[in-house]
Amino acid sequence: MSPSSSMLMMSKLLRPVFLQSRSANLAQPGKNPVKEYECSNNTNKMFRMEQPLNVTQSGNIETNHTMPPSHKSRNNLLRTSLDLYSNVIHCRSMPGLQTRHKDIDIIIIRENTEGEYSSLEHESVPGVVESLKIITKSNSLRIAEYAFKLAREQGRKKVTAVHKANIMKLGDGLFLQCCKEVAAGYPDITFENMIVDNTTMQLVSRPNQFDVMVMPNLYGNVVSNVCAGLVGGPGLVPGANYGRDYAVFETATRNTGKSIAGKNIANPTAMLLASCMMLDHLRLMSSVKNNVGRGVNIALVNGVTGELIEARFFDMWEGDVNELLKFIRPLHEGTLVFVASYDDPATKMNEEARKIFTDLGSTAIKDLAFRDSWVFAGAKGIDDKSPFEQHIKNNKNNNKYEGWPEALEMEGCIPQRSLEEQ
Amino acid sequence: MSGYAWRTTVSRALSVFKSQTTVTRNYGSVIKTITLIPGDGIGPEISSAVMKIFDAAKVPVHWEERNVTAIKGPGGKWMIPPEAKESMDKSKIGLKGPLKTPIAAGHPSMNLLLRKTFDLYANVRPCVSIEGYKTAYSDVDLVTIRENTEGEYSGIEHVIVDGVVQSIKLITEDASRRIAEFAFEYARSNQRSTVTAVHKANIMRMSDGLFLKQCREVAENYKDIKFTEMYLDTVCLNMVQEPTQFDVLVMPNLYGDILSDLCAGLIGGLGVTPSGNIGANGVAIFESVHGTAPDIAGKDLANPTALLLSAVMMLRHMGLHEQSRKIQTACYDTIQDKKVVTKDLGGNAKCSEFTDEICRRVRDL
Repeated sequence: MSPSSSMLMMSKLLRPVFLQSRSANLAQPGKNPVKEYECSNNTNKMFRMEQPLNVTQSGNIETNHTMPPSHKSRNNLLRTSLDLYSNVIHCRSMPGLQTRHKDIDIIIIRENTEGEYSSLEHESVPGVVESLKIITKSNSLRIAEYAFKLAREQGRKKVTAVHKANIMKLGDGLFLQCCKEVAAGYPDITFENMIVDNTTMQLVSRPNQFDVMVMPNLYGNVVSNVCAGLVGGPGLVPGANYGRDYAVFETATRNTGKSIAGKNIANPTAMLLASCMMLDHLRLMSSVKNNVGRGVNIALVNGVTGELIEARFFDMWEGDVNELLKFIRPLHEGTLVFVASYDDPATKMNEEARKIFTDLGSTAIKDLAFRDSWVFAGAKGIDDKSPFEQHIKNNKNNNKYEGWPEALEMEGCIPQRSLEEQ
Repeated sequence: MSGYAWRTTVSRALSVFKSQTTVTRNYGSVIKTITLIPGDGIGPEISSAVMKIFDAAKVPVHWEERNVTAIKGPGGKWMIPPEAKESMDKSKIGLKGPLKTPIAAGHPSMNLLLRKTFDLYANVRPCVSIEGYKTAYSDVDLVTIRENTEGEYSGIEHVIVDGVVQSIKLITEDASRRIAEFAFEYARSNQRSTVTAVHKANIMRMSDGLFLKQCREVAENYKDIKFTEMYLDTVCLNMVQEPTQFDVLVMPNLYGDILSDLCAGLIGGLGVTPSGNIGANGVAIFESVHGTAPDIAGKDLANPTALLLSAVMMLRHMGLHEQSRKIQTACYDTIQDKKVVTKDLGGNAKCSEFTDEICRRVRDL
């Protein structure tokens, strides 16, 4: 199933997201294979994405398992080279769809890079094959942290770790221990653990007891397929793979659907919902909220790593400036401040607010009106400026809408474009 | 299972591995000895329930009760008591209740010991929907055959460096071939039409690939049975949507563990699921796979259905079809009637009352 049907839908939206089709052939020497999967964004006057947001949407690539072991799974290669460590699948009962179980709402978080999918196998003696399953503390902590953070953000009450630690005492034991450690830091969220065979049994009899589930790779494969089946099948559930720098959106159960290909009977819902997830994800760093003349959007970015610390909207129409002050008073050294607004907030800004912005170096505070995307307002701290801050403070002309994309890509700031484009 | 024919053909097949003269016996006329391992927790009460029902059905068996608590043998190795081993070697048939898993006892679980002692390489779980015990799924009729000796449960794990653990999954040609042979023999003797191998060879190319290769080779000798292969995730996906499409499933250890419990969940859980373990020397141990339920032990509240259905499976294995049919019908009818059933089946009868009701029906049939 190709993403073309969802591309067609998205072109009808006003959001100008330009998808480039790419084939997943492995890289030629000298070329970075990772960059083939970037999604570039269209630039136009009204909505401008200020950086290449490394996001892509993909269909599944069939792995021919009759080929010799040297022919690796390309899906797996995609996930490991982009370090897409978290596979998130949200299984929700769809209204109007007849299924055996009702009111299912489960988020499955599956470790996506290690475990049984390490592809490390060897034949030690003829007729005896060993396959290695690798579990590491750092990846287990990482995925557990992701799960709990997501649970908190979404207001979820319970996280269940799925494992087989009674048999694989060291491997799954380590995973479970990491989950317990992370759980200790989230006392507002209930933490449970369940053995994988009991989990599948519970899923087919009482699936409503589950909320958020976190697990290693293979069990994630099983559980996500079971849950997708419970809510209506592979044609309905979208999935997302998140990494630190990249995100890939696809169908949750990753089927190629060979038997129904080319017959115009495939269900594009899963792919469509995956593209909706992608658009939601893009909104985090790009456009501004409540863009209808009410107030100020402020984003704080770490001046060294380029990571977004926080982005918030302040209602200057119904709210007051104190909320804004509480947010921008305690800035850390080295924080970059970006502002976007769609109306003149100046009438509600008081002396203190204006002073804080001026101190940041912003000469454009008066021009903040009528901006619908991010503008650099300045940086906190005088000594120890990042190269970006220096560049901006030295070139006052660049502190404007047009010069922004290139300036942000300087070393030490937000991730750069590919080498050949520089 | 047409026990008689099945036993002889399996023995013939297995003689490839172990030379053994098959002694065919008509179990209908001889009193057969069965090694009974009551187990812990609710084990003793459900075992006595089964014995009572067998008595009522006039099944010609003699029960030999044995305990399998591990003892340390010469050389420091843990083993099951020699009386138990001797009894089982002689009788070749066993019925086992739930065994407690020791946490800090220092010895491995008894289930594991039994498995190793008798080389119980195949775990067979027929999952059939029980009329009268409604679940979200109806008309389920499949059998999961799980390789029980190797795979992911080899128990070989290492800490490579601090924070990195490696678990080894072992797949051998011999074990894969053996389980494949068993699966096809089972399918043939039980008039099943399709055997499906469940694997993940797209990811674990060599290990599951080896397993698949053996299945394919064995399938060549069984042209009357249809052979298909399916990925584990596809099986899971289809199983929860349309379980009626599956017939016999054969797979390595971990997938078998997960899938057999998934299928048990489809028909109503471990409290109603029978299970049989087949070993290398013609040994077969039938067991209930639920836990010991220490909270209700000794209170006459337990549900003996799982052990009873496993015993029925055992009777079929022995060729005692008439009695097995009678007991199974009595059990299903009692459950369908819903008047005298235990709490987990939706009623509030005691274990003894439920047992008596089944005995009554068996006598009337």
